[in-house]
Amino acid sequence: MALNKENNVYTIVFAIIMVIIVGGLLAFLATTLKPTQQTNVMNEKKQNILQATGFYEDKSSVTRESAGADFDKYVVRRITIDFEGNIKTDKTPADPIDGNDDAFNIDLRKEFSNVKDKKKRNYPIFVCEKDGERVYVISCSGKGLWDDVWGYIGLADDGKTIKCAVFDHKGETPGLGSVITEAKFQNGFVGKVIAENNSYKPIEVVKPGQPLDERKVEGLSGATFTAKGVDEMMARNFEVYYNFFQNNAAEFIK
Amino acid sequence: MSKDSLFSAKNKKLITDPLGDSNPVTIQVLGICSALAVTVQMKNALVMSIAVMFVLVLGNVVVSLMRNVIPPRIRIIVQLVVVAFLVIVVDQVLKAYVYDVSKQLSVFVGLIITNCIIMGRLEAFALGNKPGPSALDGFGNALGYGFILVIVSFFKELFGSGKLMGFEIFGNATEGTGIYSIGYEDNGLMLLPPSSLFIVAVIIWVQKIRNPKLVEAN
Repeated sequence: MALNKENNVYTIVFAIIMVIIVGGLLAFLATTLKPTQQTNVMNEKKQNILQATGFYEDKSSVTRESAGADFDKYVVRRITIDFEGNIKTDKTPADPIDGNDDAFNIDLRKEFSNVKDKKKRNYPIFVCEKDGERVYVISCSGKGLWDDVWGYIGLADDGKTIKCAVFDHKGETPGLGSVITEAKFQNGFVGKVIAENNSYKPIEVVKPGQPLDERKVEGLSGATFTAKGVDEMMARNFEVYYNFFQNNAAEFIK
Repeated sequence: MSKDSLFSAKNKKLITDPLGDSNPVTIQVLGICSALAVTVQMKNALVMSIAVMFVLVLGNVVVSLMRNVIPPRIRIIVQLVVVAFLVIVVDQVLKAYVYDVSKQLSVFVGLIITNCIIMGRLEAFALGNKPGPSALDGFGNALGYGFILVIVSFFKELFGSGKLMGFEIFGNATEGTGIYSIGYEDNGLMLLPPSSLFIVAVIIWVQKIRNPKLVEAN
């Protein structure tokens, strides 16, 4: 007997069986691959943080593969601070990275989009040490021209001088805005200071060709809005960290 | 069809035609949006082509195997489910094993689902042919698609950022070495989607000069 493919029952049964098979296969695939994918995401974050320490002569020598081990070696404390700059949680490498209160699990982009009351936002800070040298890696996040931009900044142990900066973006124009991921732009931040006369003063990203000083960084030609985004992102994030160093000067500032 | 061997002359045309006179991108003008978006770097274009090839070949084979049992009234939905399933597989595998590439391709992997070439081949070929020829047809069309993507990305990457596959061809722009030292500058427009249209248009032009039969008479 030939199948009547126009039959309603046949059509519905076919659809149900197909959906069950496909759904089952996809669920299996998702659960099998999830650990690998999560490790990738985690290692990328570790990689970015390590790159921002400036411990490496060549930033690109930190790979995702090497980041896992190096992170445990160099990052000695993971601190969560609140908007006022007070310490909320403080973890060491001995503590497993878990829970939302761990500084490592704070996604500043989500803090900005999900937590409307800015006083309730949490900020991460990573205390890194290598050969007696101490660097504080702080996080920042903002908007570029098309989508999110974010970065990790390594501050020297005076709590205000930038030692190294790493930026990344979700969808800036390739070749124009995406230049923020390149060394030339990032190196422009090295040695800049986020304070003036003992009070907070944001870093400025100025148009190319303008005079620079210890707070001004050369911007990008052809990517004004991305540069503006970086400028704004630093302005709105760094004050929290500056306050943190002022509040805890005795412990953290050498 | 049933008496042909898998590599008969007729089946060979399934692979060669999409590379030339029935190219899915330049002649049928399908899959243009991804051709515009992922061609800034050759590496991305290659990965995208491989992903499309995987989806198209397997999609064609799966649909061809099911062609006698698919209820005609929901055949488009069935095709869509098959394509969506394969695309999610590609996306998940890329995320797990080629993380950097998956980051760069971002949403475009997901958008393979909407690539007209794939649904077009499933509907036009796989539903009416055996799995063997369907696989060849998918392979051929994916090659034709990838071929155009690689040509476009070659010009875009070379003139937009002076590189090929990430290697600096024209010297280093920021340090001013190579031909940058004599005042050459990268063309920013080449990095943006419109330049792909220009390049695709030139390819179509060349193709139609070589084969006047493709020119629509009016």
